[in-house]
Amino acid sequence: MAGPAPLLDLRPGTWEDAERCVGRELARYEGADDVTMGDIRRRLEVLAWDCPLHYDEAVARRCGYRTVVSPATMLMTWAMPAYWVPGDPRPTLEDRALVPSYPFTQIPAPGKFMFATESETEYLEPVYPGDRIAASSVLRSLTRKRLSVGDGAFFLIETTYTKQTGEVVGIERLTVFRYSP
Amino acid sequence: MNGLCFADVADGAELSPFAIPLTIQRLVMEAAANRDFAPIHHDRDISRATGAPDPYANTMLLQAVFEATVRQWMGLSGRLRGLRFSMRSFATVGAVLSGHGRVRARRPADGGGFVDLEIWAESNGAPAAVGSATVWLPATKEGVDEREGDGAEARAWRP
Repeated sequence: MAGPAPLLDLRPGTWEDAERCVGRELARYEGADDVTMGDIRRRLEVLAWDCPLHYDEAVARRCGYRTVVSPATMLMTWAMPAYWVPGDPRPTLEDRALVPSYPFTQIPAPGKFMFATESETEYLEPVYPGDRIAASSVLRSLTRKRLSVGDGAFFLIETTYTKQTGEVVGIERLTVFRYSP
Repeated sequence: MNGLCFADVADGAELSPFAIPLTIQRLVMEAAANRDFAPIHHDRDISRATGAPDPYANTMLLQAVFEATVRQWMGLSGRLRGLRFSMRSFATVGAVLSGHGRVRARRPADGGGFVDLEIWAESNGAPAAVGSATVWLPATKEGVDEREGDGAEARAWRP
């Protein structure tokens, strides 16, 4: 790749801007698509993970599920919004690199980069093909810190995942580090 | 149906590792599967520009490796109830990422019991993430397997 690396699509701001978001709901959002067998199959494929709960309806039913069940750990995928929707501008070579449009990428802050440092999830209800997963994310805390990769801050984001029936299917507490090298 | 029941579990029992090689191709497949196309997970130039040594496994891949590790051990009847981990190092391209676990505690509950596991991921043998998982197992091998859909799954999932 020639030239400087494009920046990630994170919202710029100050640490004071970010601190004002603590305690607030950052956004409610919904997965771009329903849960599908094809998406579940691709999750198994990449890991070469042979678990018939996720592809064999008869086995899943014998194990107490209504039908084939999603791996529990796919909630972030199921709730991920689209990278483009009708009406959005067309891409250009000058665009910043896309990142998933999770609400925590849009917290206004100085850091140019971000990565996750901790993940904690409670799995409460099974998710099936045909379900549509929505989420609500709240910024619970912000802690300034200097790490070897750069100066920044930890954001703790709590996300509640629900399905179309209103059932809460999982609660996640994700810590990310927003920083500049 | 195959699967551990609560009485089968011994304190200190170690889980067999679940391993996956992190080639660029597999990280691209992973992005297609989990839909996190952030280039730090598959683009060398961009990941290095952010201070990382190379493209690295994301949270969703680690979560899935841990679920597969736990599922491989407990079989089909158990339910993953909780998963917590902290990153220790980047699991970068070229490494073999593996999930590991060990039984730490058992707590009887209605219809079975909860088992707390110490879990960790290694990247070429070095710690990549450490944490814990909680699973629910039925009291007997028939505890879940004889049930048939429509409601039973909710009781079994959330005892």
